[in-house]
Formats: sequence, structure tokens, C-alpha cells
Amino acid sequence: MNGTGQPPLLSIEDLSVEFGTRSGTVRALEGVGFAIARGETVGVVGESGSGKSVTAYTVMRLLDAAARVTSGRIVFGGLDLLAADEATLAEMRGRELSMIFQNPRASLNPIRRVGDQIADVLLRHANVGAREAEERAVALLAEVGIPDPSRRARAYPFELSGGMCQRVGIAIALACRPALLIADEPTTGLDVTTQATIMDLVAELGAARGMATMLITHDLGLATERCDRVVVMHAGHVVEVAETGALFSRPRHPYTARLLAATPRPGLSLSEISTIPGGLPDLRRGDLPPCRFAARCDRRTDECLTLKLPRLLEAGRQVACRHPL
Amino acid sequence: MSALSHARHVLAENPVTALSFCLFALLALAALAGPALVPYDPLASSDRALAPPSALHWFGTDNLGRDVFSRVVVATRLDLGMAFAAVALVFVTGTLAGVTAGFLGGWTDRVIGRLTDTIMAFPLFVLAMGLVAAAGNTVANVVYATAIINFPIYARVARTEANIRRDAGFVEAARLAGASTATVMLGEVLPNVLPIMMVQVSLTMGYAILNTAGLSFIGLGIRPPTAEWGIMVAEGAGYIVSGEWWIALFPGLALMLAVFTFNLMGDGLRDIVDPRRRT
Amino acid sequence: MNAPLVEAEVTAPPVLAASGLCKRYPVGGARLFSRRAVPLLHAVDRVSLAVGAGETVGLVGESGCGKTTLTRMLARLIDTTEGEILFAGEDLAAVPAARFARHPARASIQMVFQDAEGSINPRFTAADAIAAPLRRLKGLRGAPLAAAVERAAERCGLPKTLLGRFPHQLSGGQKARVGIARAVATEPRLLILDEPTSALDVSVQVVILDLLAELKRDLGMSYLFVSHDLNVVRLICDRVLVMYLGRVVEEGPAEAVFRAPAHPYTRALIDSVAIPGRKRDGPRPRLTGEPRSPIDPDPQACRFHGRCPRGQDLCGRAAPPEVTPGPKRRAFCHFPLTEPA
Repeated sequence: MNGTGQPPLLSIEDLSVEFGTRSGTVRALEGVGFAIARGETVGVVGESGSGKSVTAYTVMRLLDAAARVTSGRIVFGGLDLLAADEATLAEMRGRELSMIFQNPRASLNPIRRVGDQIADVLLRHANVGAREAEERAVALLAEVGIPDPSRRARAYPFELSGGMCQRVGIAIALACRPALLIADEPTTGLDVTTQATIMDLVAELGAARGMATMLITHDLGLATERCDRVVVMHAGHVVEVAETGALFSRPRHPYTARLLAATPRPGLSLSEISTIPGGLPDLRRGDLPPCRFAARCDRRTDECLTLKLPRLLEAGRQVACRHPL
Repeated sequence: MSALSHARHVLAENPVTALSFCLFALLALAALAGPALVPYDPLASSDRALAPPSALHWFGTDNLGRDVFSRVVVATRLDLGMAFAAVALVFVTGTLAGVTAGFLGGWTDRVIGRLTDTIMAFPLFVLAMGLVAAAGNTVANVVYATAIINFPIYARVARTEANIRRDAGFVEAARLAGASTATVMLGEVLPNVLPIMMVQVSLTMGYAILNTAGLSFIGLGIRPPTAEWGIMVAEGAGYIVSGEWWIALFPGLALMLAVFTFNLMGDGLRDIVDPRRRT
Repeated sequence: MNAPLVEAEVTAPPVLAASGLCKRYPVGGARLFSRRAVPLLHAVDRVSLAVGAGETVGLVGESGCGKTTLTRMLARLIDTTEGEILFAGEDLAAVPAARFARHPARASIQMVFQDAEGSINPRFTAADAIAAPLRRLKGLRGAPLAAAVERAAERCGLPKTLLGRFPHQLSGGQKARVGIARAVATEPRLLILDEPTSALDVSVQVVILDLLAELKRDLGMSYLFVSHDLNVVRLICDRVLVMYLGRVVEEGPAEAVFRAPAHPYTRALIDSVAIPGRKRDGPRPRLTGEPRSPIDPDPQACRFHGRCPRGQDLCGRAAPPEVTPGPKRRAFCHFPLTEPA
């Protein structure tokens, strides 16, 4: 898929995840598969309920107790994360594979100083003593662009703005130079100018370290700007994967086209922006059709509702549709 | 889901809560119908004094030959009644005071805060003792004293809950819809505070029962020969050493059962009352 | 004191005209025996704006710019420190916020909130939420009240079957509709919308924006639309105001301002927004530095000085003048931009 012949850094294959809830089993992911090459930034876009966050949490093996992985493999640097034991995973997390979260303030411990929280990761993974961990924490704060880092390292999260908290989150995530960073809606809730600087930072640091990024977002603009390739998800399925420019200029899956058509852009008036009919299917149903978008699609035929969902591969693109555009 | 079906669901999921409701039903039965159902007159002495538990006297008899079982059951009404009265009183006053303090802030908050601080400066049971001793050794005063010493916990919990919701969107929306400050406080914020207070009620019932029994144990409040768990434990305490363990044990167990039941009920009540738990 | 920008040719007076609005908060609490003046946080500093009949005015700016405080003042939820709000011939700012609930104009100015879930009382149903303003402001009861609630729900595309549900049982889009149904139930003249669609999926957002456009036409309302999403603002607003640290820095017709912003801050905002589907060519300038403190700001300096890529000494010594970069536009800058974005 990436053309260089190298095996991908992360390969998700046929992943299916269910959640047991009071009102039934939610089939949150079904047959999800895509790959991320070293150094690549891949965006995972979709609306709420698409399963993008569940995918991220499954890769990190941070799912809720009610979750069950019913099939698939997640191969990261040759290791199957789904088969690995907790000790191996604990080694991985923070060192090779790390994550930044949507609400920066919520992902920091409010009663500990930020410098200590960064030092924690170093102490756990980098085999350094307390003094050196402290010094490296301050250096990391400087790298993420926090002014007066030695003083700020002694600050508590409530003393910092949302943007600065997210920078601290990035410092923690990047402290051990992971090979893959998963960013789950990292800029939602931040001001637009702060968003831009935070994403610049992630891109810069990533490029310097050859780090790959999985960027989860509902913001198509963010995906356009920052991602080499984009994975589009709908109701727990991957519907399309393609290089960014190609995806948005020539979408092949009807949902991708509809999603783009519903997004406000300069030059379009309100009447030119269309909605997507219908709503998400109820993922608790046992009788979901093979294509979960079919009910909302104007190109559907009977086969879409009965035959297995095809996964077409062509020229670096993946489309899960019987009648692509 | 209706309220009833939700209630059934909670009880089905949570056998411990269901158990506590059954126990509560048992206690309520004893309180309401006890005097009519007991085999012996609780005040009637007989010449079978200090008889151990047997088929005739399930819990044995005390030093005056009174049937311990009948006395324990009949005492339920008094102990539960007094505790209930105290809790009802403090529930209303404490919640209103707390909500007002938390919602309005400013001087109201400061005054009520100092009031609760003053009460909490004393060891609460000692304060209750002092209040009853000073105001007069009556049942009513025991109820008031119990209410007063529980006031701080209600006021504080209500204050925190009201404070959190003070800036909530629905408060602004209510003001936009023409609600005055009082209406917002009582009609919008208070209904959100009540579920949490329900848990408090149940927990405090247990504490209030212990309180009234404790005060009568040391001779304040209820006087013999009235049947009341605290007095019975006090009377029976002297006989434990000589081997007549049943006189103090059974009222003690009844106390324990009552407190235990109310503590368990607290959580279950909240699950039922809070609509967020409805699916 | 700046006069609000109102078209001279139009004969209809604006629905709402606010001038010189200020909101200052004392910081740090009063000291009992100190002679020093208490420092004041200038959340809103001499803002004037007008909303014409049938107009949608956009209000943009980042956190700390004062737009939330401004909307709360206009909705009369908080008191103004200074300034007047002319509405239907009366200065509403003179009425204390605590007493405005009983004022006849209460029903004419309503608001839709960003967090639809938080703005509906979790203990009450959707029907209760929609009924509240009708009950208190229009005095409806019983059957007429129920009928009015159903009408409002229907108008907003909310199925009757959902009226008995609690907020946590409704989807994001449904909650948004409840919030809107409640706000338009009394048929207000001015509707203030505080980020009404930012928590919604893009496909739901379109539907809600369409609904808002339809309601505006049918009920003859004017909108004040606050949003951080510049793409949405550009889509539906006739005019836009840009705020920074409590002041209006630029104002004008939406398309004109977006195409050729005059104020460097407006330019920076627009530059930060990514356009879905279109990759940008070339790097873009980034705002560096920290925003100035809104506490006791220097009246003889531009608030944006220190972060402005065009800033010079003059900006720190003199308050920026009002300039007119185009017809019906104004900006406050010593060195406004002239090239298009």
C-alpha cells in the first residue's frame, strides 16, 4: 500500500470489536483494516459512532472491560498487540506507542505537577534516575514550546491554558520518542489559532523523529491539511482509504462524497450544502446488512443488502463498495 | 421506561439493594403493626424472669419477666419514628439552607457556613447530649437535637450540589424563560439536588437511630419502662457478665439490622430516583 | 464611544442597537484597608453593535475575547458595567438582570446554547423544557400549553414521540432541536445563538442550519450567531464582527471581511482555518507570543500589539484609530491590510 516495499509499522487486519451493554451487544467495529507506514500521518475521519476512537483505543489496548475483540490482528512492529500480555503492552505504551487525547486537561492528573508527570514516563521507560528525568522533562517542555520551562515544570495543570496543557500532553507522549503517536481529536476545544500551532508542533516533532501519526478527527479540514492518507469510517466499517488529495478531489465511496458535500466550505452557499439522509444504523441489531451505509445510500441495490461487502483495492486506494463512484 | 419498570430493573440487577428493601419492609411492618402482632404485652412483667430463649419466649425474658421479643418488636415503632421525625426535619431545613447558600453565595453562604462550622466544632454526640440535657429531657428534644447535629452534613452536601449547578446552561435557560431567582433555585436546581439528598436521608436514618438509642442508653430521652432498643441494651448490659446475654443482644441486633438496612437502601434509592440512570 | 454601524439608506431601525457596552470584573477581591484601586478585568470594552431586521450577524473571536460575556449582556442574563442596549425603543441595560425575567421584552430576546445537553434540565422532559417559556412568559396552561408545545416541536422537526424523553435519551441533533424549539416558542425578535452546532456532526449541522434559516424566514427573526467555526459563519452570516480581548477589531459584510480582512488578527484567524478538501499551498504565518492581559489594559495601546505580525512602536503608544477599509466596513488598526487573503 505504501509503495516502498517496507512492511508497515502498524497493520490492522479484519478487526471486529463488540461491547456488551445493558441494552444489547453493540457491534462497534467490523472488519476494520488499514495500515500505517513509518513516518506517515494517517487521518481517521468519521462522524460520531463511526468507531474511530474505538479503533484507537483497541490499538492501545485501553478498552473498557465490557469490550470484546471478536476477530482480527493488530500488528505493530512485528508484534501482535492483541495476543500480547499486559507486561509486554505496558512496555510498549509510552515507549513505542503513545497517545494524546481530546480533552488535554482531563488527561493530566490535576494534583501533580506537570514536570513530574512527564518525568514519570521517563522513569518508567528510559532507564534514568530521578534527577536526569527531571532535567529531561524541562528540556521536553522547551521542545514543545512552553516558555520559561523550568518554572512551568513546577506548575499544576489548572495553572495552564488549554493549549499549554495539550503541549504538556504532547511532551508526555513524545518523551520516549515513540514510533507511532495516536492523536484522538487533539484539537477539539482549542481555539483555532492554538489548534494550528499545536498541529504544527506535532508535525514538526514527528518529522524530526520519523514518527508516524494516526490522527483521529471529525474535522475534514484538519485531515486535509495534516494527513498523507485518510481512512474514512462509517458505523464501524472502513469505507474508504486513499491518499488525501485523491480522496477529497475524487471520492469513490458514496459516504465520503456525501460527507464532503455536507461540510461548509468557502464559495458554497447554504443551499449548496447537502445533508446525508437517514441516520446511523442501530449497532445493537443482529440483522445489520453487510453494508452499513446502504440504508442511506441512493446507489444501493439488493445485492448491497445481501452479499458480503467487497473491499476493492486499486492504485493505492481501498473502497468498500459494490457501486463506487 | 417507566419509573416502576426502572425500579424493578434496578432491584433485579442489584440483589443487595433488593434485600435491603425487603428488610426495610420487615422493619416497617414491625413499626406499624408490631404492637398488634406481638405475643405478649411488652410492659407486662411476669414471674419468669431472666429466662433464656425458648419456644415460649423466642428472645427470652428480662429481669422483670417481660418478653424480650415483644419489646424488641414494639420498640421498632419508637426508634424508627423518632429517627424518621428527626431526619424529616433536618432534610427539609438542611437541604433548603444548603441550596440557598450554594446558589446565592455571598453573605448567605458565609452565614450558613459559619453556622454549620459551629455545630461541627463539637463532637456531635456530646453536643446532642448537651442540648437534651439543657433543653429538657423529652422525646421532642431528642428529635430536635438529632436533627441539629445532622444539619451540617445536609447543608454541606446540598450546598456543593447547588454550587455546581449554579452556572449550568439550564439555569441560564430558565432565566431566559422568565424564571425568577427563587423559581430557578427551587424549581430547577433543587430537583437536581434531591437525588443526592435521598442517599443522605437513608444514611442519616441509620445514624439518627443510633443517636436516639445512644441518648436513651445514657438515660436521656426515653425513660423506662417504655420499650426502646437503647434502654434495653442499657438494662441488659448489667446482666451480660452473669450470663444472661439475650437481654442486651437482641435489641443490639435489631439496632444493627436497622442501621444496616438504611445504609444499603441509600444507594438503591439513588439509582431509582435519578433519571439519568434510566435507559 | 463608537456609534454602531447601521446602514444609512435603510429606513427600518435596527432590532437591537448596543453602544459603549462595558463589563469589568474586580480581580482578587477587595482589600479592606488598601488604598490601591482594585484591578479590573475588562471582559468587554466599549463594544457597539447593531442587528438589523432579518439580519444574521456573526460574532467571532477566540476564548477570552469577551463574546460570551457580550452575549450574556445582550440576553440580559448579566448586568452591564456601562453602556446601553436599545431594543424596541427602550434601554434594556437600565433594567437589572435579576429583574429582567419579568420584563415584557424577555420573550423577545432568546438564546440557543452550545451545549444543548447542559442547557436542558436533566430532571425534566423535552416537553417540560419547551413548555417553560410558554408557561412563564405567555401565561399558557393546560390544553393550550400542550398544543403550543407540540406546534413548536413540529416546527423544529422534533417528532411528538420524543417530547416525553429526558435529555440523556435524546441524540445530539434531537437535543439541539429541543433547544431551538424552546428558544423560538415565544417567537422572539432577536435570537442569540451561542455555537449552536459546534457539538454536532457535520451531517446534522447542515440540517440544523437549514432549520435555523427556515425559522428565521417564517418567524421574521434576526440572529446574532456566535461561532468559532469560520466556515459556518461565512456560510450563513450577512455581517460579521471580530472580537479580540474585549474589543471589536473589525466589522463588515461577511464575504468582504473573509475575502479581504483588514485587521491582522482577522487575517490570522482566517489563515488558521483549514479548508476541507483543499490543501493549502505554502506555509502560513503563525501568531506568536502570549495575548496581553485583559486586566487594567493600557488604553493608549492596541490590544493586539505584541502578537501582531505588523506591529510597530506606534501600536504600543497609541490606541488604534477607526478605519474604513471598504463600504459598510470598519476596523481598528494603525496598519490595516489591503491585499486580499
